[in-house]
This record gives sequence, structure tokens and C-alpha cells, in this order.
Amino acid sequence: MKDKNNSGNLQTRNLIEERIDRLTPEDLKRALQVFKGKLGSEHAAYLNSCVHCGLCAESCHYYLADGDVESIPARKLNLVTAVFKRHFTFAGKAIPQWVGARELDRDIMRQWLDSLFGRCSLCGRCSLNCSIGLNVSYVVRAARSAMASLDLVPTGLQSTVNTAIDKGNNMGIPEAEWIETVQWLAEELRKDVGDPKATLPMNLKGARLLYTVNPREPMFFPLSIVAVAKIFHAAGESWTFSSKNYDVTNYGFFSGDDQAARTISDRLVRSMEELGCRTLVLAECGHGFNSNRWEAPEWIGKEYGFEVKSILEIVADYIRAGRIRLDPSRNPGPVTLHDPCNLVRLGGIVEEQRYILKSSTNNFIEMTPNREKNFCCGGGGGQLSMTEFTERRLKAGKVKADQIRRTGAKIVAAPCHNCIDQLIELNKHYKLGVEVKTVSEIAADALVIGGATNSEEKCEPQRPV
Amino acid sequence: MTALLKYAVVLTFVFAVVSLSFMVIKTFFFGRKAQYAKPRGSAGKGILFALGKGMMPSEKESASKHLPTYFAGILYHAGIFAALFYLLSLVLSLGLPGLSFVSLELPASLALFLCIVCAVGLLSGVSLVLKRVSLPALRKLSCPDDFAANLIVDAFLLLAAMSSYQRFSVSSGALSGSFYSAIAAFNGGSAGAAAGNHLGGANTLFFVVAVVMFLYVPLGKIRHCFFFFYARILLGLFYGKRGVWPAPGMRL
Repeated sequence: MKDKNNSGNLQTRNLIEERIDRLTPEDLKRALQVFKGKLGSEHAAYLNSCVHCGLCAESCHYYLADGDVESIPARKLNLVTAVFKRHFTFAGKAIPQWVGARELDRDIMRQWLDSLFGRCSLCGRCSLNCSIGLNVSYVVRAARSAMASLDLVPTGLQSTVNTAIDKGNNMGIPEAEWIETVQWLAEELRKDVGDPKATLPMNLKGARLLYTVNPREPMFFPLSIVAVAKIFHAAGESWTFSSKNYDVTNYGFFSGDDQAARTISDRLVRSMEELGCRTLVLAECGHGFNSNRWEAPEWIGKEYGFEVKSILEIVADYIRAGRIRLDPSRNPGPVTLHDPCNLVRLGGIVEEQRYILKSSTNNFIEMTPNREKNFCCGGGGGQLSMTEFTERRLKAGKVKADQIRRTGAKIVAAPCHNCIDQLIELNKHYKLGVEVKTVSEIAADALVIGGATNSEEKCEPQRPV
Repeated sequence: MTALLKYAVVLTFVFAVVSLSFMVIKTFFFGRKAQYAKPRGSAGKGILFALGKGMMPSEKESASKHLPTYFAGILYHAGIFAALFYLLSLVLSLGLPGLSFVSLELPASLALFLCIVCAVGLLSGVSLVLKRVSLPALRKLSCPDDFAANLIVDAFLLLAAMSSYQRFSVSSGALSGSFYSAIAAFNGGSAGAAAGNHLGGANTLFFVVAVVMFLYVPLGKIRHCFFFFYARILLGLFYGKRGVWPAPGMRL
């Protein structure tokens, strides 16, 4: 089975390498133009600044796992810097070898493919540790964009983007199936809360919140949806799903395809406008948060007329306001927390999850390092969909596995479904013996139904459409 | 000759500053990304953090795990600033035509202080280039510019240290009047002129290296002297706006 997988991965990789072999000088010119078009003044500043001190090396989980020079962030950045210098700086044009400048050619495209897709999860940890302060993942994504313009995105990642564009969500779930799943989950909710009126509203116009999910939830983790629904129910929240646009993920962010990323995120904006909701609530999904909270307004080119919040901010607000009550003794733990890079380091949601977990268990243990300094699990940057790099991804995950093991925790809370998938694999691969859950699931386990002390801020919804 | 070199130093310095400014301005032509997403934190505080506490070993694993390199880097750059200050004092105190209204005469103690800072900076710079030569990973990361930039700056520091030491010696009388009297007796002329020549010889090479360094600045990695601040401000903006820097409750 393993051999079969390996040969499949090799095939996938060879397919792209064949495409690279077929690139014409015109294709490369086009890629250069796209690359230039993707660069802003920030990129140009970063690309002028690396001093090759190499101090970033140990900030990268890839380098820590394999010790390969190619995994040093400065080396990865250098692949992009070299092209920038060669084509856009005087010194790079005049004395290319002296300053390490290189033409954008097939050879460097192969290296971009291997390093920028296969050795980088866009986690941004190197940026915090950079002597100069270069936003490396920002630059890597610009280079990925140039690759995307030439159809050189690894097949698995590209097909995830294509599915989202064609089917409306990245798992290709038909609308009827989604509605049916939600109806089934509503029954589960009613049983759980003992309220025959409890429901998971669909297309409820005027609801305060529009809640989105990662399509992996209805497919593989439906109980994480029920957990959030329980919390909404206990808080007396006015909320709804959209039957069409509910996918929080955006793999265009990972592939570097801004056009696709814009299309995907714009669907949520349209749903917000159609349903007249006040807050777009993003499920526990790191890159979904980063994409929709921070990047999408730039892709779409407008300031939103509504709030965009993580479900963690909403739940933390409920606890603070006394809208839900949690009994921490219901989660004996010990529980540790993984900080998803896109949510924490790149998203700014740092303390909410801690507040929720400390309210939900008496036995919470921090990993070291944590918060914005935490290590990537290895599942970000589209790595989970690029099967050709699976072996490398699991190897790079050792840093996270060791971090978890050192806490001695039995439950790992991970507010991101990509991270959860990677952590489940790491759990198996490194025999960690832990259970991986979302933060909302842990909060829902501690939820005291009917225990709220304050039920203000409820909104009366209008009618379903 | 010295007057010409002083002009060359000033002109190449201006060339370096103008070139770097042009390079910074050129980055703006790539376009500024719009900022439509509503901020979650303060961009200003993020910038302050990026330029201050965010560079401390307590905040950066890359610094705390590599303290010798971190401190070598700090001392190296302190040496460079000291050498530049010393260069400025020379250019002004030696009476650059047209700039005679300004002068910066160095007291002996300050000359000695600058000499020590430059010498320590030089040792740090040499240690950094040796590290680059000896570690295979770092060697593979490097291009000729990485070595050249370091060596040019090391030469600048070496000559700054030597010249400032001579200035200290002359100012403090560590080189006695009889030393210059003897030279004067041998060559003809006054002891004061002999002392002036002594300093002039040391400074000539210092000026030449300064000219080379200023000419090289925009070509190689030394341009980070401008881009460092630019990049850190951008990073501070990024993390500040997102509410990541500084951490809640942290004192800047």
C-alpha cells in the first residue's frame, strides 16, 4: 500500500516536472510578469533586505526535522530574491553571480516547486525570528502566484481549489446533502440539549450571525458542528447557516491564485449581504480565518460592511457576558493547546482560546513555546493536499509531536481543521496517545445547559428564505 | 591629495544615500497593497515593538539561541557607527573647503573610546566572517557579496581604529613632542607639521576605504542599512494591525 502511495506521489510530482520541462521562453516571460504584478512595495522591501545570516534556520520546523540547508528559510527566500535581483535590480543585472542573482528559468522553477510548495507551510515563524524582520511567507506566496499562473501548482492542491470553485465547497458536497446533514445534526442537537425546539437554522434572514464551517466537518467531524450549535443554543443566539455558501476554507490562499481566492471568499460576502447578517463567524479554521478576516477584503477590493469574527471570539464573549456557563470539572484533561499559525501568529486570535479552555477545564497545560511563537504542526500551506510531500510533512511534524509529548496532555485542543488532520496523523505516526478536539468541542463538553446568567444581546431573526 | 579624498568621501557618501533613497522609492513603484481589512490592534504600537523589544533575545529565539552571534552583530554595528562618527569628525575637523564653519574636534578620551569601539567591532566582524567561512550551511547560503561586504567594512573598521588611536596618541601626547622633533630634524620642517603628516598618512588610507565602501553600499547587502528599518517598520505594521504585536498587556 505504501509503495502504491509512493509511486502515486512520484507520478504527481513527475507530471508537474514534465510541465516545467515544456515551459517556453514566452511562458517564463509571462510568469515573470505575473510575479512582478504580485509584488507590492512590501515585497520589494523584503526582497532587498536579506543578509544571509542564517539565524532563521532553527525557527523552521522543516529544518529542525531534516537539517537540510534547502529547508533554511533564508535559502527558500533566496530562491525568490535571486530572481528579483536578476530582473529588477541594477546590481543583479550588472554583476549577477556576485550578488547571487538568477534568471527565472526551468531550473529555478523546479526549485521553487520543491522548496516553496514542498518545504514551506507559510507559517511565518521565521519572520518573527528574522534578524531583519522579513515577512518570508508573504514573499513565498507571491512566488507561488507566479507558479499558479503557469499551472504549476501541485495537483492535489490545485484540485482542492478547483473543487471549491466548481462545487461551492472544497469537498464537493452537494447542496441537498449539506441540508440533509444539517437536519440530521439538528436531531442530535435536540437530543443533546433536551429541547424539541432546538435547531440549526438554514438561510435565516436577519440572523445576527452567519456561521461557516470547514467542509471536512459535515463529512468527517459532524460533532464539532453540533458542539457549536449547542453553544449557540445555550447562549440564545440568533444565527444561521447558508445552504449554498458555508465553506470557510480558501485554498486559493495556499496556491497563490488570487483570482480563485477572491471568487471563493466573495461567496461568503454575498451570502452575508443576501441574508442581512451582522457578523460573519468563521469556524475553527486557521487559514480560513486569515483568508476571510485579513486577506479577502484586499482580494475583493473593498471594506466590508459587516464584522468578521472567529467563533472563538464569539464563545469567549458569551463566557465573559455570562451568556453561557461552563463547568470545568467536566473536562478532567489534562488539555493542551496547539496554536494554529494562521489563526494566532498571522491572525491575532491569541488569548480567546486560552480563556475558553481555562473556563472549560481545570487542567490546562501550555505547550512551550506557545502563542505567536508556537511551532507549526506541518499541516498548513496546503501541505495536507500535496501528497507528493507527505513523507516530508510527517517528518516536519516531529517538532510538534515532541512539543505535545512534553506536555503530558491527553487531549490536544486545536482550533483548526487542517491542524486537526495533521495532528491526528502525527498522533498515529509518533504514537502520542492523545485525543484531538476543537476548542468548541471542549467548551461544549463543559456546557451547563440552562446555566446562563445573562441572555441579553439576543436578536430576533426574520424568516427563513 | 587629502583634500581631494575628503571631497571624494563626501561625494560618495552622498551617492550612497541618494542611491539607497532611490532604491527605497523604487519599491513604491511596485504598488502599495490596499488596507481594507479593519485593524484589530495598533499599527503604531506594532512598529514600536518591531523596532524595540521585538529585537531582544527574550522575544527572538534566533537571538536567544545564538547569543554570541547576536552580541557580535550588535558590537559590529556599534563599531560601524563609531567609525562613521570618527570619519565625520575627520572630514569636518580637517577643514573641508566650504565646510569651514563646522568643526568637530575630538578630545583625546573620545578618540580613544571610538578606537576601542571600532576595534571591538572589527573583532566581531571578523568573527562573523569566520563563522560564515567555517559553517557549511552558512557557506551555502552565501554569495561573494556576503564576504566582500563584510571584508570592506572590516577594513573600514580597522583603519578607523588605527587612525583614531593615532589621533588619541597625538592629542594626549602619548607620542612625545621629541618624537616629532626628531622626525622634523630628519626631514626638515616643524614638529607640528611632522605630527600632521603622521596623521595625514593614516587618514589617507581610511578615506580611500571609506570611498570604496560608500560606492559599494548600493550594490551589495550593505544596503540593509536603509532597508533594515524599512522592513522592520513593515513587519511591525503587519503584526501591529493584526493585534499580534505587542502581546496584550505587554509594556513596550
